Amino acid sequence: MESVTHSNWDTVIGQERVKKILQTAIRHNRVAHAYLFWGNDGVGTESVALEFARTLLCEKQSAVSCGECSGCKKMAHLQHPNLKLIFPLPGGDADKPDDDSLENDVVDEVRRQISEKARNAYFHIEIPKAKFIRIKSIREIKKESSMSSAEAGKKVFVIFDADAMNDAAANSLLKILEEPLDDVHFLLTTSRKDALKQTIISRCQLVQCSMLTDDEIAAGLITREGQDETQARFVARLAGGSYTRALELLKDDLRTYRSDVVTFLRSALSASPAKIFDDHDEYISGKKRSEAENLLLMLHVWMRDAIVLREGSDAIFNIDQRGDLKSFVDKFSRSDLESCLSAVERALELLRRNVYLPLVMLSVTVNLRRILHAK
Amino acid sequence: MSYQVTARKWRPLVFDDVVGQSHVSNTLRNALAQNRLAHAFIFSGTRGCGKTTTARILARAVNCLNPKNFEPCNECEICKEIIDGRSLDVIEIDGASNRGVDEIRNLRESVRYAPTRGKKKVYIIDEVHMLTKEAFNALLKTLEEPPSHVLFIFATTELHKVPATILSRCQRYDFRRISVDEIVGRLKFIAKEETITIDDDSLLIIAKKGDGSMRDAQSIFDQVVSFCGTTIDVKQVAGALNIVDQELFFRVSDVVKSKETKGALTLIDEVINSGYDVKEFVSGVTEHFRNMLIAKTTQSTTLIEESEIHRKRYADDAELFSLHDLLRIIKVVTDTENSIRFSVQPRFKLEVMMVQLTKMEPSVKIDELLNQIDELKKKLHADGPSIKIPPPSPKFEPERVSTFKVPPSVEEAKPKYTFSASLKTEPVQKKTDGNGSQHSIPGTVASDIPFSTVQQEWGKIVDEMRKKKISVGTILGETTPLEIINGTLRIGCGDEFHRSTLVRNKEILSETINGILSSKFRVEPIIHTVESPIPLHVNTSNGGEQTAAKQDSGNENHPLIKTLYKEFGAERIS
Repeated sequence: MESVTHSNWDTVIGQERVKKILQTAIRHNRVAHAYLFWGNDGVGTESVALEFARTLLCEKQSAVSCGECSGCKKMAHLQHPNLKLIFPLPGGDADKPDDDSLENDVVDEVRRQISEKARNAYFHIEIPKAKFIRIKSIREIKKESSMSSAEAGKKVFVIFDADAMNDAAANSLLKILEEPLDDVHFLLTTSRKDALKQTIISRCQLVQCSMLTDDEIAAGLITREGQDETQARFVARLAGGSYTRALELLKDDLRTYRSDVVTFLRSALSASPAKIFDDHDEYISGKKRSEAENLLLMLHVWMRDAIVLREGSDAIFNIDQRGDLKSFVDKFSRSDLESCLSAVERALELLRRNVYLPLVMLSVTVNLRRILHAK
Repeated sequence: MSYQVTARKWRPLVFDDVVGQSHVSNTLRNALAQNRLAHAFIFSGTRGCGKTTTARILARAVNCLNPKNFEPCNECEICKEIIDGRSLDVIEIDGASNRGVDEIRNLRESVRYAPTRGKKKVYIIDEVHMLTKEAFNALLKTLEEPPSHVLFIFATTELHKVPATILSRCQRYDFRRISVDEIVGRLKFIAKEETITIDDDSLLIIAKKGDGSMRDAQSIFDQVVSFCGTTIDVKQVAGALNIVDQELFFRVSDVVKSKETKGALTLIDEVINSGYDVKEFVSGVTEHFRNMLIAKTTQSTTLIEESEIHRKRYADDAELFSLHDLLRIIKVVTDTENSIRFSVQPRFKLEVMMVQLTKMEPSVKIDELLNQIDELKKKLHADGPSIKIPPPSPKFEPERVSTFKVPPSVEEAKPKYTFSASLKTEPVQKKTDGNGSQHSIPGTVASDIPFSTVQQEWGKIVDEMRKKKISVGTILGETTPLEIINGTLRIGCGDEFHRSTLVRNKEILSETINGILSSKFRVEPIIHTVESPIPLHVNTSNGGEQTAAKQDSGNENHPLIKTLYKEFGAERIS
């Protein structure tokens, strides 16, 4: 894969508006000290932040990073001494707050994930058992931002998932975020802007990263992942504007899940209640969580398509399942499909909150039955 | 010197420049003038409204060597020292990072020493709400009676987190949100100083996005300037901030009005493809309909924060919707706004919202509805003595009943449902009566258990049900078994309430019935009004036969009754 070598704004898929904003800011010498890149999961907020960091740290100091200076080379492995990445880390022992050291295996995991991130900016760093950015990470920022650094030039602090800062961490960032020393830059990213404190938001320049279009995702999949056109287009449609999601979808064989949706609906709607209980056990036993989640996601898309089709529009996602969809809609055109959509969404939410899988699946089945069979 | 953002570069240096907080700056200036300055202040308010700024101005104002009109001169040595952050007498502490009791103990130690050069030693604790409980308590004594050379200024966005014991020792100043006009004024001034050409509409958009905070507005201003350079117009601003084109919102209300669901879905597609954020779009829609509501209710557009052209459009468009419809639309949109926040696929939610809006029936006024009901009632009374015994008159044809639908949105009309339901029972009852006479006998033949057994055991069933679930048992006691058709046991209920209760408890009900009869009936409660109201004392009686006989006493020719007389030697009691 070539992704390591091309090292300018092309690493970012789409987001032309954002690129233009940032490049103009550099050209006009109006780079603010704090930026917040926000947008849905996987649209490239982190990719934008990393590329912007690379450009700021490049020795040429132009609007596009050169990719040849030592700064850019170090950035290619995310190992520039003036770059600091902040992301959720597992909390230390609560009884020993001074003990900051991480377990060895966690350190290894962090290293592995950072090098993966360097290779693919759309990879999302997720350390197991790490939910929050803690105050000690922020204290480190304060210390480092006030000291002179190993290399001359700007210092860049990139905070991924800024919404993961807990209350203490967010509050202790406020002062330094408002008035840092010269040549210190903070780049924050979040997919849940509403979860951020207003006092944080107010200190940053907000840059919204839009959802990617299907074309942009498909083009990315073709050039970066070597997918063929049909597969790329198909995955792009289902990814809902998120490149990270598209990459995940590539891993699984989606077509099975989509035919599963039809089987699932059929068994859920036709069998007698008693049979469902029997079938259900069989159906979910041996299924992994992620598989169930994929099934529900497909079901979610299915319900949405059904609503769209019912309203006479043709902009459906499951293009190749039009026949099945059509007969479904004909049969249930008078049912409350909107409630079905909410029921599936609710199930997805429960699944993400780690609710016992069989319970989630059972409740969604029973709910769909009730809604669709209601007169 | 490297670039500084507007919010830092143009941080006000004198009280006069602090926008929108005259109630605070005037009070402070007067206190300085009369030499009645308190020793502890707490400033609260939303982000970016001038708390830290005012605290710093106050710190300089008390120490300045030659104040003019009680404003700091910002030119003398001491002022300069403070501005550069070199002063030993003005100590700004980040309360969120130095929140422990140890930091406060250090502070208490240093409070004792007199200022080195200025008149007062000023401690500014920003984000004071983050201090721990112990830290706050350690501060109490010092805060109440500090040495005369000390001034405390606290600033916080979350006043409710500060203990009452601290609040009572401070003079409290609440900073207001800054109005759109005031923000526009200040931005205009800054633009002029920086020789940036920007039109009023752009400033309005920026100020509105600032949402009451000067810092937010200035951040946005920076962003626009860094994107557009020194000449800025509305189009560029919209591009830089990715602001949804107002035109789209008017198109939303157009498709809602014309009920074009398909068009609405196409519109959403357009919104998504233009790269607008779905959440921002939905809150934009809320504001759009809120503007219409305002235009509608106030009959003026002064409260609408929009440019002049749009205000006029709101005034015109508001006529398209009734007040009730607008309220209902806003309800649907705000519900979506809330649920979309944590949604997996925000786009789907938005689409559902648009489908709901375009499918919405125009609401009916409650008064009109009540009048209609009253009229109907009058007609009913004119035709028959009571609603429960509707004579077979042509007035109760199903079509007529169906026109009597209560719009689901009109909450207050809900109680009337029972009324409309009992009206509806007429045709249903007719049907069951007609069918019953034909089917009850085949029914008993088809099933293993004759209907008569059901009637016999009915009392037992009711008792058993009471034991299991008292509420259902009581309801069941007021109903009668009607007939058995193809393995389905029909239970006649007096009204909708009884029926719905039984339907809800269908499982336990059929379990009980089938348990006692050791049968496999499906249970189907239906509405069935008998000519005489169902006697209440059925509850107390255990005799299934009696019950059945009593209830159908009015109808000697009913095949059931005939069977009873024949098979069981039933007697008429009353």
